[in-house]
Amino acid sequence: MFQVVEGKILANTQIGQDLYLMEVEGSFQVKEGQFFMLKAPQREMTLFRPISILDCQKDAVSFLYSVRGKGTGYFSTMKVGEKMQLHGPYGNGFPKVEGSLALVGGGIGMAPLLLTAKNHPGSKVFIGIRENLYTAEEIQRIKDLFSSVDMTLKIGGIVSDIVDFDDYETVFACGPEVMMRAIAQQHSNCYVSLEKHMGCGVGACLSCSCKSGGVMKKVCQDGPVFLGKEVF
Amino acid sequence: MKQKVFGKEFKNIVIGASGTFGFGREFDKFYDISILGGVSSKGLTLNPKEGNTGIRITETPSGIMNSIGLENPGVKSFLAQELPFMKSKNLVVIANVGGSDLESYVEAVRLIDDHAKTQEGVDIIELNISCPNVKQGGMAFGINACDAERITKEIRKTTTLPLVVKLSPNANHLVEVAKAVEAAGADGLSLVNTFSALDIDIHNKKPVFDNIYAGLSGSAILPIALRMTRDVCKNVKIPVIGMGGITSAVDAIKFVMAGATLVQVGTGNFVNPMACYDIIKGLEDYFVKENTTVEEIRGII
Repeated sequence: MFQVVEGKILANTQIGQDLYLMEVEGSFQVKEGQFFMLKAPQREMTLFRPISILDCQKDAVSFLYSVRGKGTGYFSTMKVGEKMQLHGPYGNGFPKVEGSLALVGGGIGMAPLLLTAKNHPGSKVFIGIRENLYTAEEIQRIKDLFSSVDMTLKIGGIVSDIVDFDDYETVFACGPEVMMRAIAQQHSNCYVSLEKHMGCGVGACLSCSCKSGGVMKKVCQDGPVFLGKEVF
Repeated sequence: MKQKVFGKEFKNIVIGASGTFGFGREFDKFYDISILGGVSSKGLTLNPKEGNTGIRITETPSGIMNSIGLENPGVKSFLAQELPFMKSKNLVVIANVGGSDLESYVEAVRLIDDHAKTQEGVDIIELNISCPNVKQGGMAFGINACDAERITKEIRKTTTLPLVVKLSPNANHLVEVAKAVEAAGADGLSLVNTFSALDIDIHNKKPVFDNIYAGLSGSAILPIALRMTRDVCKNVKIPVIGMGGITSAVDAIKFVMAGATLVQVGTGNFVNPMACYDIIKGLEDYFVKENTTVEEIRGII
């Protein structure tokens, strides 16, 4: 059964100017590439917000989120010890694959790649961030977040320029749509993780629909991960 | 709290509202939805629809705006794939039906009616008259009394199932539309649908929604929906299903006091996936504590 739970915030640290790392207490069974619906119960919020899982420990789940609007703005003001409301995890997540694997993230699209890389030993992570967005100290924090996996950071330009796609049997991508589209066109075995505004997270409201393989799918329940060539 | 309305037994007054409750399965993962009085299906059309492009939902102060565009699998697929589950939950199944012109409404309702004649089928039709009529410049059927009456008459001729007409708060004169729909043979009314509204992305200098306008719902509309429910209840004799921003038992009781026979919970299901469950428990507590009944408080305001 699904349920809404309240979890104590164990950490809510600013990583870069718009980038925050939140850790919420709780014991969850998650799969890489899934997300939770999150809400700050004491703030004026109507909808939960879908946020990707960065990592999961025995007694906590962590999220890397960027402040985009009102909801994530509230999240950034939450203090350690306050409670978050959450339900999930939802979505299919990234598939378990054998063989060489490249994980390519653009901006906040890096979030679901940490746990995915951890669960795919030998995989290589490539993350692109905008130039002049973060200080040297902030860049170091991003590198530290990914220190347990093989990660290459590209600052400015196009992250896929540093990936030789022929070297990999499978590619996972998450980031701006133009980036994912371009990668999906270069590599036929590419899985992309889509981002959409969501209302319910459980497939009831049809706010997050997309077309995959010619049929309507729900990003929240059928995705967020789709075969690139079927959605682009 | 048991109610017999439209000849159907409702376990209580709470119904999951169309478009927010999927086909019931989605919320059955949070709690056993057989506790509900009823479920109104996602809006159905004769043929499958893919819905609108672009952003489909945003949050507003105390509410949301949506522009889904009636994405649905079509009536035939609903009857084959979704209805059996809804029926298995032993609750009143309401099929919410939309269309793009008179003919497509009639044909959709005919399919549902034919199906119900031969087996355990849909219990009630809820006619969504907020859809734009593509043959009349895209103006919704529910905007003026004349169009609303005409479509209700046609659907009345098409089905013997109980017919509830869902009114648009964007009507030129809501009470006139309600009276016209009653005169045309509707068994009940449900109101309100969403309010036509606008949001603008000031950085892109464009409307947030591809369709420009979208429907506003949630707590923000409750006081207006409550006033409209009372206005309509004072002017018709048929039962009214009230809705608009209900997120708690307190909200639901207000609609009953304004005259509603039953209530629907829509956006509330997104605010709290357990909303309908919590509301039913809250209502049970209220009626015990206050030593009263739905009948006693209905329409007292």
